[in-house]
Amino acid sequence: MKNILIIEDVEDHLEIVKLILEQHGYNVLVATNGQEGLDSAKKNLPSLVILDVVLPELNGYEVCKEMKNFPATRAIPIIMLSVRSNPEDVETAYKSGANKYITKPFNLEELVKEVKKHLGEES
Amino acid sequence: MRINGKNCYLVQKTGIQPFKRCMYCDRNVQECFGFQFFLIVVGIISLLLIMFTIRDLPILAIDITILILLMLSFLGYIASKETNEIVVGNHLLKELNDELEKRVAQRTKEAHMVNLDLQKALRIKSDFLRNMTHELKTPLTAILGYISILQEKQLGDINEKQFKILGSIQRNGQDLLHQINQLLDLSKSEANKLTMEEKWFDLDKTISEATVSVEYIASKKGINISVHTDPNIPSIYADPERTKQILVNLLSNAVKFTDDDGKITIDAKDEGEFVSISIKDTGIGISRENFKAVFEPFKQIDPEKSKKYGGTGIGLSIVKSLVEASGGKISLESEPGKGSTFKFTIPKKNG
Ligand SMILES: Nc1ncnc2c1ncn2[C@@H]1O[C@H](COP(=O)(O)OP(=O)(O)OP(=O)(O)O)[C@@H](O)[C@H]1O
Ligand SMILES: [Mg+2]
Repeated sequence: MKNILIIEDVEDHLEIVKLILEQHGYNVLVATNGQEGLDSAKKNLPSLVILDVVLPELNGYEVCKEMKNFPATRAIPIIMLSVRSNPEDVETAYKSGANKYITKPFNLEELVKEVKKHLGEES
Repeated sequence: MRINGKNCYLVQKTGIQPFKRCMYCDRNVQECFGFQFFLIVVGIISLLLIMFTIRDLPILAIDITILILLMLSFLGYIASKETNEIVVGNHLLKELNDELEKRVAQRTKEAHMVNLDLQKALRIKSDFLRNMTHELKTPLTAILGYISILQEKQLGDINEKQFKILGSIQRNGQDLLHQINQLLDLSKSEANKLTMEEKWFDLDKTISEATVSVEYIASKKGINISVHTDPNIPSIYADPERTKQILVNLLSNAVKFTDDDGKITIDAKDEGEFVSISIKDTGIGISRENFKAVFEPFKQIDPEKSKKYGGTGIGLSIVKSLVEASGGKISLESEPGKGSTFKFTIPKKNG
């Protein structure tokens, strides 16, 4: 079973993403702040990370950069989720190394589709 | 005297100290008095000289000489007075000019400050709006997310009635999201910051997606929507999300302002460099004098009716900004009671 790490501080958003991913048969790890998430990513080396932008401690962009700078986590795909929809925000996310940026409110189907795509499970 | 009067008026207006004014007047009096005194002395001396040297001249000649001398002295007096007034006037004018220049500089600075304040206020407004919409979208994400999870029956079965209720909550949530996004877009279009993400896409698909979003209300009102697309239309290079947003706004107006059992027709035509899309309804229509106003933000033709129909009056203003930002044009044909046709164009390839 593949591990997916969700780094998200809004409890309900975390719960929704967790529910839908578990439903699709993934094992879910969670972290509720940036630093905790980064530590967990380095320690557990998940197959994919779902990352919020606005986070306490380290923000999503910083977590993203750190993961892409650290050899063991560099290849892990990162899907960023945020209520911010300005082009500048999207650009910052991709410049920080995100593999995909999805704006909230997200469509659950789309999220699952992107997860599968970045895990190379597309049918 | 007139110059003086005018000067005094200006002096009062511009607020030069009255003390300074007295100083000028004093000098004026002093100088005039000196010159006049000099002329009278000269006149008397000349008179005495004439009387003593040419005694045998007739009385008339002496009278004329006296008269000429007196006239000369009077002219001299006038001249001296006027020169004086001009000198003093010039001086005053220069001071006034300096004063005015100072004032203009001051006012320019003030105007600049007001402008800066205005810009700051606008920035605060759009920052506030952006933050506010983020705050609104966070709980909405939770609401819509949980609804989806329940609708997909992932946590167990639900009955038909519950499923219908979830559908209603979901539609209302989506509606709220649409309003929030429109508000955000309005502030972006005010700041000229509407953004387009162009790519190749299939117009047919976008039209049917937009139609789906109004289908529910249309079917409730018994309104029939038919779509005719030119089979020649290739995929176009524009922003698919924005194109859909334009269509959804126009379609939701058409559904909103058309009575039960009406008809809506969507027509997409290939027009060379452009694709034109028209949305025709059989609704209440718009009179010619309101053709321009309906595209202005917050403008609703009949405020009383608007309460019945709902909405805030920003849909068409955003549509217009979006059409223009994508390089197209929008036009309107309508007659009250006979329905309306909104037609817009999109360049096929902008990139
Ligand atoms: N198809 C139509 N038929 C008749 N009147 C229309 C139509 N479309 C727009 N109008 C008139 O133009 C006005 C402005 O339209 P607009 O879409 O900007 O605002 P709205 O629909 O009232 O509110 P919102 O779009 O913000 O929900 C409407 O209030 C209505 O009076
Ligand atoms: Mg509208």
